[in-house]
Amino acid sequence: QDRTISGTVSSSEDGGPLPGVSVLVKGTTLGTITGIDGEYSISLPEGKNIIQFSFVGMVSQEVVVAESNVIDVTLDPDVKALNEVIVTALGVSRDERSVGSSIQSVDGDKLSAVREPNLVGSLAGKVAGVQVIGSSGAALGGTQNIRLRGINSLGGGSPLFVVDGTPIANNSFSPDNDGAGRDYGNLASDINPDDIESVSVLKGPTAAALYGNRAANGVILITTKKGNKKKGLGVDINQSTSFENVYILPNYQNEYAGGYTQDFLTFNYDPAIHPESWSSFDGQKMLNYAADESWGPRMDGTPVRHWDSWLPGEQFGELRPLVAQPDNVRDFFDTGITVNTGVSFSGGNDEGNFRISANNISQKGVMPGSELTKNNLSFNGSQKFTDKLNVGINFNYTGTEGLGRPASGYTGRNPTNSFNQWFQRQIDMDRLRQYKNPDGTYRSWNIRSPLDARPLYWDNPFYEALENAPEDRRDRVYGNISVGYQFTPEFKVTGFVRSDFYNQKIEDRIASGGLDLDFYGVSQRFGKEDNYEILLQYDKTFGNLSLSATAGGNIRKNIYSYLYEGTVGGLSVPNFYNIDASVDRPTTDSYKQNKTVRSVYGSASLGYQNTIFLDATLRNDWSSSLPVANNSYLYPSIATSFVFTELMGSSDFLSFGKLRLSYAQVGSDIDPYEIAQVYEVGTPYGSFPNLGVPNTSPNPNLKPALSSSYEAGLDLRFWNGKLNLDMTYYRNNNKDQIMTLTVPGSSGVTGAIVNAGNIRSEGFEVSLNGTVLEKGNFSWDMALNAARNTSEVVELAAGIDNRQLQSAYWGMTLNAKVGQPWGTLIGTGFQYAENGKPVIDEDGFYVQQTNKELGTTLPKFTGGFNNTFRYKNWDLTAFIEFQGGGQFYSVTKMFNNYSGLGEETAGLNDKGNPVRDAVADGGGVRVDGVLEDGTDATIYVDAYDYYSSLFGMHERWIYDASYVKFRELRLGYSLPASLLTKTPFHTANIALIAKNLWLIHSNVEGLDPSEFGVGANGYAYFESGQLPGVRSFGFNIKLGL
Amino acid sequence: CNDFGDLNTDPNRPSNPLTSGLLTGAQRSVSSVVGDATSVLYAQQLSEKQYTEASRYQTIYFNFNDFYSGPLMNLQRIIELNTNEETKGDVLSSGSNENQIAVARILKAYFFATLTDRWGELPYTEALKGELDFSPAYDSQEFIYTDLLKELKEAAAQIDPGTAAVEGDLLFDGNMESWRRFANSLRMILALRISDVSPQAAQTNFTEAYSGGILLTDFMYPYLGEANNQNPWYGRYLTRVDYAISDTMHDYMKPLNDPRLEVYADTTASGKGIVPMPYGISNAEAGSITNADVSYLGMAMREQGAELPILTTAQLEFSLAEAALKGWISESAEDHYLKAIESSFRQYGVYTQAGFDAFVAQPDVAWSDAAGIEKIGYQKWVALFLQGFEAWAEWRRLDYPALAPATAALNSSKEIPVRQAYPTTERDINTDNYLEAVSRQGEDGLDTKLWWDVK
Repeated sequence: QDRTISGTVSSSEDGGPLPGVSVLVKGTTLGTITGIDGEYSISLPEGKNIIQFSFVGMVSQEVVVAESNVIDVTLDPDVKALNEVIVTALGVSRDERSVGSSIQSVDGDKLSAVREPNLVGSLAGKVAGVQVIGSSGAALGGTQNIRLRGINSLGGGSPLFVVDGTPIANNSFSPDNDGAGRDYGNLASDINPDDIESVSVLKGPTAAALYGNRAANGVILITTKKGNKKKGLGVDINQSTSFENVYILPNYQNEYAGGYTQDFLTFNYDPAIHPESWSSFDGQKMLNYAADESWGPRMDGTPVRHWDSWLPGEQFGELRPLVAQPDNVRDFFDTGITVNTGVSFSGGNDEGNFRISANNISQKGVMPGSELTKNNLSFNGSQKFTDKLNVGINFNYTGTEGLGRPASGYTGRNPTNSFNQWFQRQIDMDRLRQYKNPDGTYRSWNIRSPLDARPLYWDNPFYEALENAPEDRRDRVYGNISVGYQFTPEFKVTGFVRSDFYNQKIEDRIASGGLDLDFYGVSQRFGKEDNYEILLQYDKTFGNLSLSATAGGNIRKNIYSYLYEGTVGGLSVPNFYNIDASVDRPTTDSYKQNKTVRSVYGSASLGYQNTIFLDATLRNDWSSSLPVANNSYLYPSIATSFVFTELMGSSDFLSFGKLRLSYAQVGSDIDPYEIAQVYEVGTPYGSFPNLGVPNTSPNPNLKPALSSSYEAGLDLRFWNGKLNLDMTYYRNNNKDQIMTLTVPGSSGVTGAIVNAGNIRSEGFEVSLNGTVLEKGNFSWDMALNAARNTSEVVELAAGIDNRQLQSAYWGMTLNAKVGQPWGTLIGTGFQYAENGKPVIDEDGFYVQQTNKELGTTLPKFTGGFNNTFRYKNWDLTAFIEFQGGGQFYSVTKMFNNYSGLGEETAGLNDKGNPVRDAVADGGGVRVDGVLEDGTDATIYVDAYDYYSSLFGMHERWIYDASYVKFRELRLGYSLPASLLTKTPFHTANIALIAKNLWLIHSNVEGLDPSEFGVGANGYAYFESGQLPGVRSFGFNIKLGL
Repeated sequence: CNDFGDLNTDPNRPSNPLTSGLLTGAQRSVSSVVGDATSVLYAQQLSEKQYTEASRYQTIYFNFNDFYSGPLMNLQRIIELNTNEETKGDVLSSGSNENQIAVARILKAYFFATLTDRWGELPYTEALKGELDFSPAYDSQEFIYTDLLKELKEAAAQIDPGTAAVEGDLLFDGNMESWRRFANSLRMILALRISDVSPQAAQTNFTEAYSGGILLTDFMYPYLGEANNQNPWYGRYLTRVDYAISDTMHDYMKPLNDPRLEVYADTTASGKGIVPMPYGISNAEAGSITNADVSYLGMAMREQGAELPILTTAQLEFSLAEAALKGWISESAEDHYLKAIESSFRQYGVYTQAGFDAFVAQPDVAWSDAAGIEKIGYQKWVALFLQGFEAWAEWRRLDYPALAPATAALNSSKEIPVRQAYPTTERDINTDNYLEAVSRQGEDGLDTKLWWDVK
């Protein structure tokens, strides 16, 4: 006859109840989990009398049931449990103590505290050595680029993303060169953050060696949540709603209107060309509407003809005062709304488990008319068919639909570009809101003249945002099926079929009737990666010696295809967005790519007395994209970990200490089709085909690139894990880089693919986390991490000491220069005299020095600081991220001042006179410098001429990208169990959440240096027309059923 | 494990070269010579309307890489494929080997002539060798000119009308006789260019080329009425109004009642007739001039399919007039001079006997041997409208018309450029050869005179 046993499980540390403890009747599958108050109740079948209590981080206990039906248990913390289990390469879970390389884990909860929808964005500052180059929230799902340990290849490079063993693509199809265009996000943003159990960051080649040629930049290993036995129905609901507002904009001047001179233009009535009814306008004051700069008359209330007073409507003919519009740019943007709702169902028993989740994110962006919808569906299940045969499935679907994703960069498609670089300060945004004339034509502020209302340079920003809105859609599926067979307790074989594919369609349009020719373009990208993998695992302990060995093989097949069509010469039927409407032969592009990599690999880990561990791995790849003679490459790794506290004995102070040392090599290949001579097909002339010799010469002798890495680390745990300190030093040598060398164009090609060079990355990472204070109902946990990295270009090809990586607007370049950090900025700068002052000419203009090194783009250090406070049912999480150093070039700043929009172009000079007044009248910008004959001079320069002369003076517009950012804040409250008893819920938490709430420190006014993530390669060394920073506030409700 | 079959064969780009396609590709680049805007500004035929930096000589470094890696590399490849014993048989569908090589050599000379008149010394003999030479040395402009004249002579002789004409020829549609005449005409122009510095070679080449037969009609780039092959000026005016007739050009033509002015410039939108834009003034001054009050480039020159001149009979007649003046040919300089103006009138569709007679009767136009060079200089400048590189080169050589530099010049010398500086890639990655060229030629800026520019 069954007996019912009940009781409470508590912790010996603080005596508090322990929820979530697994309670199992030994020898059966009967079990339960303790509730939030630590209580349990279990039915004990006839003939069974042992109950097991187990909980992560605690020593398990077995209790023999005697007479009493009440058994209260106190669990002790497990010192050995300080060796947490972490997920390592190939998804193998291992005792942390046995791992000899640098892997840092983050719990899913920590990543989704404020429900950042993009996984990459939520990693910022949470793992030492990770640099995230974000994009503005205004971009609505824009690309977040990630770097691990600086730069490890000439072209930059980002880590490989792996979800439950399945490598997934993280391409970004945003514009990759000058960042002008629309950003459709990075593909890893398809992962639903709510599905993530944990993320392991395998930082260097050592940890990642088993992942082969794409792991030279590390691996982001994502483990998704699985179903398990738990209290309640296993239903979780997570809902949040937040509101976004434009936060960071440059400071504008609010003294002067549009134009080039402070004198008003006057309307001169001319009966030959003007309607008779305009005769009364004669002599009225006008503005220079055609100007897209703000050097015009003072906004002193003078009645003038504003741009719209020449357009049909009731405002026609109006004279209105010329007054400042300080908030006109801010007024353009909307309040964004993000509604994020997820639900999951999970369950399981000893035979199997499952988890199903669904999530919807609906966003309305701050850019008028922009919308984004994302739907996720995922299923994780595994089932034991016999004791030995286990089948698992992991399936994920993500559908993303965007409308009107904003353009960024220096383009007419980007209203921010106009507001911050080419605009008139007096414009009343509300008068632009009505962007259509009564006859349906579009109206803009930038009219050519009273008689000619066509825009000169700029369309109406509302026309731009609302009529030229692109549409995009992406469907993404990834997952795997696995079959595992446990031949013996020690030996297991698992086979996997993995797949990841996406189909992305983007439709771009320019509406008929604007400044530019109307246009429709559609692109479709399909990418697929299949992996067929077999993994053999053997684990055995022989006395003091433990052995863990794996061997595997993998075949990877990549397919990528791209189709594009765009109209040429306009649309034959206005606003008919279809390729059929192309006036001339449409532009077309069809591209496909196939690649296969075959691999075999193995690893062995030997442990002695749970104290010293030795790991070795070996992998060989065969890549289809390399020349046959060089397409096989083998690379090893070796790592050791030594838990020295096992020998010296642990104390209360130092409870655990481990020393790590490792070395690894990783080989890399190239994209396909780089080794044989082919011809480019260009735009035809009539029926004549057009071919060209490609600008890059192929190389039939390419060989794989090899990066090698050394790493040493020390992990210390104090006071039983109350404080944990991890430190790592690493050095990577990335040799024989496969790169497109820039060669003199006079050779007939501009690039040559070669194996050459060495980039050395070296750095130090530290993370410190623990419990600062724990008293009664109060606790304070903190986690601090920081990393210092340098990536130096040690060598390029023979005879080459610089490679231009990219060129920004107006001649500023990003370079890899031998002996310098990767990412040297080279451009035009000041010439300095010996006394440190700039050299100027007799008119006060700076003498320029071309080809000057102006800094480096890589930050000196990055990091994050997280604090979590708990008091009773309240929890407060505050997360700050920071970066030190790194330079960037701001085109926004350059033209913000060039065109007289910026605050610094107005106001008073040091004489107390308006800086814009004529120099003869005491105005002008004071320039202190040294004349070319060596004498000091102070010269006042006309403000317009001064800022004009700074066009292309890159050094003046280079800023330090250091910042401290209060990125995340969460204030939560868990409803007490007593309140929940009458509800169907067993947990409930409500929280206020905030993102990007304060850019605490930045060296550049009006821009956010953490959001330069425009461009697929994430070089982030310049910005132009950066979208404004966005701040979000909202609330979040989590319910457990 | 290492056998992947043909998986790495590029499906996106053909590996088999179709030389007619390479020729079409190279010929399309002729448009970037005849459609250039900067040189038209240097010659002050047009002014910029609002952002006037280019007409104030702000840009110093100009990129020639696209010419080398584009048309020149295509032409070099055509020559190689038609020369190499292993491949010459495979490319016969695009014309006979001889004719393909000849046309490629003529076009190569055309491009190199433009380039050397812009930069001076250039990588020439060692250029276009791809991976065989990534640091090509520079040749002197004298060497380049000598070789170009030789190339044009040999190529004209190499043309064999009895064999298959070239395919993919959008300029002469496979008319080999026209190519021969173009080669001679170009050789004449180049010979005249070096007449101040190398008069003997100039005369020999000029007279030889002339007797070989020159072009009898204007050689125009045939733009199409579709966006992929449209007139570049059409594209420039699609969304903007950056170029207006310059006061320099207008103020010379207007008093002479030159009928071409109405073709060169439109009337203003405000109905004030033809009003020029002052040349080389600051952005602020330029921006303060109402757009409706200036005259933009004439509509006929910027229709989508409007042809632009590559080499005109007017140009050849002016050259002959100059040759006659020099005594190289025993023909009348005045006849050729008048013929040149007549050709230009006809080119712009404004020729009437009476109008022409009245025009050339004016004292400022009428021929005089004594002021021959000046007369040619001015009238050639007018006739070379939109042929910016040629107009700029002839201004440098003849020193007529008298042009004043931009009033608000941005370059350090404040003078009109007499050359353009090398692309910075040469300085950075072909450094030794670059420095050697600069040490021979002079500072790599806008003010260093070229070898043939001795006056």
